[in-house]
Amino acid sequence: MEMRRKSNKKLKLFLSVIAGLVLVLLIFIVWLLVFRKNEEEEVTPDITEAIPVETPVEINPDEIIASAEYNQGILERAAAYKDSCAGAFSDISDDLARFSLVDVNEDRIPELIMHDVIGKSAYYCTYVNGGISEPVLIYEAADVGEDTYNPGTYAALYPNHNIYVRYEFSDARNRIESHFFSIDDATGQPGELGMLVVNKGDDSFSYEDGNGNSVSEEDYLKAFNQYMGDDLFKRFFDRDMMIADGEYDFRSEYLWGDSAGTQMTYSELEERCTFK
Amino acid sequence: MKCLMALLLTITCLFSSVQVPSGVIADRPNGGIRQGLAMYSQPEDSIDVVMLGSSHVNYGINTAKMWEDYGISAYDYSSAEQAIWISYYYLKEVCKYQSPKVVVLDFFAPAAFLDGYADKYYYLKEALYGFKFSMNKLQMIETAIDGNEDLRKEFIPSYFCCEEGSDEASLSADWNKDYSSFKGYTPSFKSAAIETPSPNTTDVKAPSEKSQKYLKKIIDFTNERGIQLYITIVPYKLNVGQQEGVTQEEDLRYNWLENYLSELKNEGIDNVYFDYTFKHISDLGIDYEGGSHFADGSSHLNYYGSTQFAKYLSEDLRQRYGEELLPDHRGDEKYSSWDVNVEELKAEVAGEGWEWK
Repeated sequence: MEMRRKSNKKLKLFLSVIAGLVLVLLIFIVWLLVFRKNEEEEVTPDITEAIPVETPVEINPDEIIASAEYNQGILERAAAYKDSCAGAFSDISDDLARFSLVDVNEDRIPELIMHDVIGKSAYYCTYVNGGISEPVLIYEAADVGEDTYNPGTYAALYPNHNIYVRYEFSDARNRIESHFFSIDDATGQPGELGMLVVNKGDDSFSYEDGNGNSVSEEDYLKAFNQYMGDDLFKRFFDRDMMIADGEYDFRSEYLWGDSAGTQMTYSELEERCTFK
Repeated sequence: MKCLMALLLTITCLFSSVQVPSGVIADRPNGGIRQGLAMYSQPEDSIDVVMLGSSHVNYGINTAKMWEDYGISAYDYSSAEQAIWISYYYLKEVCKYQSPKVVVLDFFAPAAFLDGYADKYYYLKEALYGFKFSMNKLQMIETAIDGNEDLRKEFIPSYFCCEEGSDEASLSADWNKDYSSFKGYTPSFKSAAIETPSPNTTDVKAPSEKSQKYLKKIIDFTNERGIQLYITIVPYKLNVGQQEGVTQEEDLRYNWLENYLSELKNEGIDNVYFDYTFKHISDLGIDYEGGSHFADGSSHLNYYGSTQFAKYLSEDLRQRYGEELLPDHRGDEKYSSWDVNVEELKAEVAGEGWEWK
């Protein structure tokens, strides 16, 4: 009996020592995690200052505009489009292709806008990743018959605002879908910002958001304004149609006096491209 | 001999019936096409006063005078026999690129021409061909042609329609000119005496319902945007016959306008002013019967008359709206194209042997 009491006493002592050691260990670990981390944070700035940081390369738009890559790329895309126009309307031999150099996405490097004077379609090509992108569709009329002045689809393009709107008309233009896009700088591709719908009745309009939900006129106008920005909305929103009219004239065959570098033939574009 | 005469007559008739080649509507400055084109060449947000209406405007309001003596940046955005619905779409178009403080609307066209007017579409091309393609332009054409399918094909031509396309093709040589110094005004250097107007200021007749509708749209548009609307009558010979069998009653329609605007004012619409010029014609300083201010026997002021009217208009606009709304822009580089316009007009006046006023 006395031997057993002595053994229990020794066991208790041993367990107590172990518990104490565990406790000390836990405290030490916590100290490491909390306090050492703070020391590291204090040390980190010194460490990072020693690491060389790669400075971003600034792009000089003027150099790009004057470069072979830009100009030859522009002309290559334009020549291909001109050829495709010739094939699109087999019974017309006129030169239908027109080109404009317009800065859409505010990077001071003009995009190439390509369209035909009949109003069937329009494209843009942008400078991205050191070259001119493949053509990106702005709009295309599905069925261009004889009534070519009444497009089933059209677009509103605004230079220097990085936004354009593609309109899909139906029901004799009593239903208009507005699809809002901006150009992604990294990819050159259009990102759709949203969509709104207006339906014109005999005496009033009704409106839908991009999910087909009915919305009030106030919410429709607010959303439209948000997509376009105050200045463009104030100037170009048309309350008779409840959509925004465009600034760029996709149908014009001719160079407008106010817009140098727009609606050029291929020959005029070739003259304009500085690197030959 | 008879056969020869018949042949000659046939040939003459054939030449008469063939549509006049498109060169007829080439860059004439006084029909409206250049007024339309040149608007797009103006510096953005530089036009403080835009004038809308018929050729009474581009002949009758000397924008160079308004600039040289008052520093008011004005533009005659007019076209031949411009219907008031055309004026509405012109107003929407100019407000895309400009922020006018005052719209001066000449009311001659809605007073003189009713819906049954035989030459209603005669000058429509003048209004359309200086206008960029846009949804606004499509609406303007749809409104103007009154659902007439034959007119649709004429004025909204398919690209496949070469005849109509050739009119535009003839303008192409002019479309890339720099029109920034052109402010819409086209002086006439002819002289004619006409009788002083004596309007019936009692009886009232409304203009056509379509004219009333578009007048209201112009009023609403300007009201919503905080633009002052100044309706006027550029001096001309009142009630000259326009069409056989139709009695002109322009003064009765001006009386209607006066009453209509008074009612609107009572409803709280207060951005509209009507200067019924025929009621105080002596205040304008216009010489009717002396023959020094009119170009022809009915419609248009000449260079001297338009300069006098511009002086009267400028002083009334300044007095009414103040220099805060219509500042003197002389000396501001942004408005240098108006200085160029004055110099170009001086050269033109000297070339015609007339005195600069």
